[in-house]
Amino acid sequence: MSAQDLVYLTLREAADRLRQRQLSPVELLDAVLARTALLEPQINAYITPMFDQARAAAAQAEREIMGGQYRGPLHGIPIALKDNYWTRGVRTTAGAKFLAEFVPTEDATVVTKLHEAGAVITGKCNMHELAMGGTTTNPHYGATHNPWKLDRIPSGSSGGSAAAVAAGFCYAAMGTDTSASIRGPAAACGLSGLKATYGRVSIYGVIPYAWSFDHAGPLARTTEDVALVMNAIAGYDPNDDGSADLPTPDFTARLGTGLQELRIGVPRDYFFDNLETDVGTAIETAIGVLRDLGASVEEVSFPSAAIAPTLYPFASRPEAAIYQESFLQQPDDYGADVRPTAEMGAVILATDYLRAQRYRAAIRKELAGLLRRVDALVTPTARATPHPIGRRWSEINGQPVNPTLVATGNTVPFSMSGSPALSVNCGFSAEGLPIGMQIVGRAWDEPTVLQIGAAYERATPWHERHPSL
Amino acid sequence: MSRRPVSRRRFLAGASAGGAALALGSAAAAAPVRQRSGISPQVVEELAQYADVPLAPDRAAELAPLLAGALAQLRALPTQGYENLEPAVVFRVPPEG
Repeated sequence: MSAQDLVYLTLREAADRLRQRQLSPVELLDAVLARTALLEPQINAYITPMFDQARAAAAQAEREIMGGQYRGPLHGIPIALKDNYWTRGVRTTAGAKFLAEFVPTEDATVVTKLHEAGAVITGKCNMHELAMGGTTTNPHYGATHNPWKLDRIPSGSSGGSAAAVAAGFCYAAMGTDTSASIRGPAAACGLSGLKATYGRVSIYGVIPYAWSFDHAGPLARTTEDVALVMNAIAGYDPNDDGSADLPTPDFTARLGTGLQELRIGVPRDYFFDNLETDVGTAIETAIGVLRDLGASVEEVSFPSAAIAPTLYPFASRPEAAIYQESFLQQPDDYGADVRPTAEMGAVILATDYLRAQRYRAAIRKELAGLLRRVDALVTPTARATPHPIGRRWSEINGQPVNPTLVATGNTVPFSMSGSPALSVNCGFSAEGLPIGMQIVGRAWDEPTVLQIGAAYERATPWHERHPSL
Repeated sequence: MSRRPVSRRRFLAGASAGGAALALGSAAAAAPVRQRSGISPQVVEELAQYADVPLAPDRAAELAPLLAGALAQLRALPTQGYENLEPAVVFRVPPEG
């Protein structure tokens, strides 16, 4: 097997080889670190590599597996973390100058769970400053480049995590998602990425953007790989007040199930407005695939989704401002794009914050009613493919548009509702840039979302493509 | 107080176009609402003082139109029928006390 084949195994394929002792965790890590050494100067996926710790963890995993102590599918698997997850003894910057020297004294709950599962943590990935944006063009730690086209953004804010997986530096990476930050980078980098139901995965030890919106979740090359990571990280955490004390499903249980019994809704109004032509073509083809797989596809209406972009700044930015109170005393240490977002949060009245949160409850109720009629919704994840690094606007069919609407317009309604939402790769533009399809389910019903994503991937080849680097 | 169900039809009346206009940030959408929201650079400066956040005058001038446009869109959303809806952030006592 070539080095390229080795680094582009799926997590499942790598895990099977490790379990069967056809491959050692040390060999696997060596392969991805060799690739990282070669390509990281072009990608800039990491803020803080943890390669020495990773080598020690891989050696330990090798000893354990050889000794018959196989822990499960993540044992010995290289996995990267977005740099807003606390890591004991390793600096955690959240992409901010304010936190350049912050070294946590404990791990985030997700990190603890990954260690318990035997994962090999490769490092802390670049991100949009404080997760407050969607380009990962970080003024303090440099821009992350999209492995599919190096002059393009990887989206954000989990852009370093997505680029690391797409470039073959690891087999999965952890991201966080407040309005789009797992789903957007997954779409932009040709990956699967899941924002589970709010409360399903602990956010204890994740540096907050906005508590009532922040979600932790995985990005990987396939939906099955996402499900395998979810099995390790999901579950109730008493340290997280938003964590749900509910039974945790086996996220892989229905991955092989067909779609014949499922009703899938397509909310064309709003979600399909003003799409880049290639995005529209790809999503229509993908919907046809779901229909061919036996799903009952019907058009549905979700009108209140259109007000989500209006509500989001008022519902989220005051939450950011209270966490960032000390940062706001040193405003020159913010990057130029994040500074106004942060400052605006400090001057929003509490009444307007609560006004937005009230409408948010209405969105959730309307969606819950809609999802009593259908089992899931599908939409484009982003309305356009990723734009060039350094450009402050997106373009749709040659017209300049607000990049925030392009990146988050279709994802933020489901951030408002806290719904499980998966992005899967559903094709490529004429320029060779990946396109994402968002699959949204009922609260706590991640297995259906993953079932649809996995069935789609079995029927299509997109997830098997890799960037030419 | 009794909790009446929200009438979705009333709640959504006129809502859909506003959201997209705000997100696109068009000057045309923002211009008339500046007056309605009453947000000026001076007001932003005073709010920042109230919040104990240092904000240079040029920053207030940059923020004021952003905030004014967004705020006017928010306050223009229909309110009839949502008065009894709980905000998404509500304190609850857990079953265990």
